[in-house]
Amino acid sequence: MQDTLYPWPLRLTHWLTVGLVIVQVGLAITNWLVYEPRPILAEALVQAHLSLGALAFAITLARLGLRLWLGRPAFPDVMRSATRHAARVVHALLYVLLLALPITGYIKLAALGFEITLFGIIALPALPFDPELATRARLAHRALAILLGLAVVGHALAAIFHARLFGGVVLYRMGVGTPRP
Amino acid sequence: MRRSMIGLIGTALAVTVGIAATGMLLAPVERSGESLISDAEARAGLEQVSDYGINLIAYATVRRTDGTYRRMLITPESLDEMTDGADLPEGTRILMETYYNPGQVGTVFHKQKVGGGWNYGSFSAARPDLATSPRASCLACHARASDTDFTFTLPSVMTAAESGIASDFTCDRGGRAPCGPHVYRNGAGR
Repeated sequence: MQDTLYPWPLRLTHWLTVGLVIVQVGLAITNWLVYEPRPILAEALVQAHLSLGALAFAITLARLGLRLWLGRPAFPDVMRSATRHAARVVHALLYVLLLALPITGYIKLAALGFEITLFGIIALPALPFDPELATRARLAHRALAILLGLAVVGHALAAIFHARLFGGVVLYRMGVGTPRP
Repeated sequence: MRRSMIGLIGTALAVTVGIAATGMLLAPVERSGESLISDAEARAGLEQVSDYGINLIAYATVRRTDGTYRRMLITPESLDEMTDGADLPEGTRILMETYYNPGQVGTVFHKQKVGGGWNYGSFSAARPDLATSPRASCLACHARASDTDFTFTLPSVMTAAESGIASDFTCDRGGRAPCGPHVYRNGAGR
């Protein structure tokens, strides 16, 4: 049974990413809601969003490296070929989005001359002033965020659906629950 | 007779040349672009505001369909220095008062042109604070107004500087989203 589990570093980084994505969505929505009545709070939320976005980027890179190094368990035998293919595509999409979102978020501010300092310590390099690039990055960031939301929901629903269909072995791979025989 | 005629014409010519030369010397030197009407008389119809420790001119009111509105204020020196087609002058301050109920000011947002770029700030009307700094949310939002010096209501600023008319128009979008660019263009002077 143990070899059907993802290695613990991959499980840890997976659930860290889940937590970060939820917090990031919450920060973005809260910023939008409180910007006008509480602009100083909203600015603090943006700073937190930038820092946690960079952390999510670093965790995703680490996760990719860990996955290459440690490998991952094979798909359960009960999963059909088409389902496995769909899972691979969604997993790849999630990795791409988790890397692209922080990059577009960085460009949309750095191309406006905004100096980004992560966690109040790490200063990121500025980009040449280019408002058009910043506007494109802003639009891309929003579109990618919506796409990530859809991919995450699809990923979670598929995992729950397969857990019910195949006795929980899919969720168990990420350390959730116990598979039924 | 002939001598007196020549003397008269010569005197008239000398006076004309003198007046023209004096006028040329005293005429204001134009900056790049065409100078706009900017004296106090031309702005007589614009409301003067001095609620925040500095003199300001109310140049636009942007209304929302939900009944909220925003009043836009600018430093009078900026109107004086406006030239047709040019960006807003260095040091310009623009304040945006938010009103959720008529006559009741909420957050006041403001920005100042520093080193050719814009810094942003905000305060409550009861405690004016004109400090500014780069702010991520403000910068990102105003980037889409790069064609109008990162100032959505620049057409209304131009109208106020040119003809002393304050704009008053309704936005085509709700919430705090900026209006469509055509609204700012078409609303100027209304």
